[in-house]
Amino acid sequence: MTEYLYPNLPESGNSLAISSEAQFVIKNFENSHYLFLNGSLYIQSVYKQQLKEKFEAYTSIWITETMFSSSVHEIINNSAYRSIVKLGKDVIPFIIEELKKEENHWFYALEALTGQNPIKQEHRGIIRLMKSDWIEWAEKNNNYDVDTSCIS
Amino acid sequence: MMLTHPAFPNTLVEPFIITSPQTINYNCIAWAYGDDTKWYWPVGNYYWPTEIPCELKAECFVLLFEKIGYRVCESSNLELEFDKIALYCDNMGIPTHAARQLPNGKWTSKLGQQHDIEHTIFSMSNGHYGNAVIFMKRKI
Repeated sequence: MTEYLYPNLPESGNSLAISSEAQFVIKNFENSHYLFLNGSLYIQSVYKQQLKEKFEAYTSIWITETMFSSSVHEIINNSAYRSIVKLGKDVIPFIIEELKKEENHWFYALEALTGQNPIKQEHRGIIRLMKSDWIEWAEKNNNYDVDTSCIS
Repeated sequence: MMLTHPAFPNTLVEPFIITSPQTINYNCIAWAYGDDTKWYWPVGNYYWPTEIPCELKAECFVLLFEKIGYRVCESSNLELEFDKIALYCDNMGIPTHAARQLPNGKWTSKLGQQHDIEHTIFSMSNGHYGNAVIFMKRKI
């Protein structure tokens, strides 16, 4: 008769064996959960609202901490600015809207997030023209228009 | 209008005097250089003369001002026949700011994205920009 050795869970740290039926159920549950999150307008609107709030909070900190900075290195290496970039591509429409309202040093964030740099050589250092180059780019790439329909 | 700010602790003794509206159009380097149309900084998308190495080093800023006739000098004292500028660096020797001397012996600076101000070397020292470490002058 074969002697079975049951694993000592606290020592081995391995998970229990799962039957193929259980794996099937788990997989379908995960797929349903994923479809719900991505298909739900409510969930999307909550996500966008939370993202917007984070973006605005970091922006406020960044502006305060760099208000006297002439150094572009200091401005773009600010931890709040870096946090904005870490929020990912979904903040691009928020940055474009901010840039439309007021000139600021968003250029490196936009370049990092889009992988693009539409600033013309002769516009370098002229903030209003650098801004125009990016606004023009955003209008040509209309997937970066701000969709605020889900945000209250 | 006077300005005191915790970023510049000596302003508690000698406040800055605000001399312009707030604008992002130019920074302190441009203002000391005599240009109020661009943001000067040795990096990527910002203005920096192509003939000067695009590096964040004090010697590159010295070269920038040598381009318009300035030469390194020893003091910040007013000399009526000379224009003077002051380069500020942090405690690592990295450039942070520049100021230009006024005919009355005080200095004018652009505070980053904020206003132009009039100040003394003392009032700006030991603050956000570090200290003035290099002075340069050119004959008027």
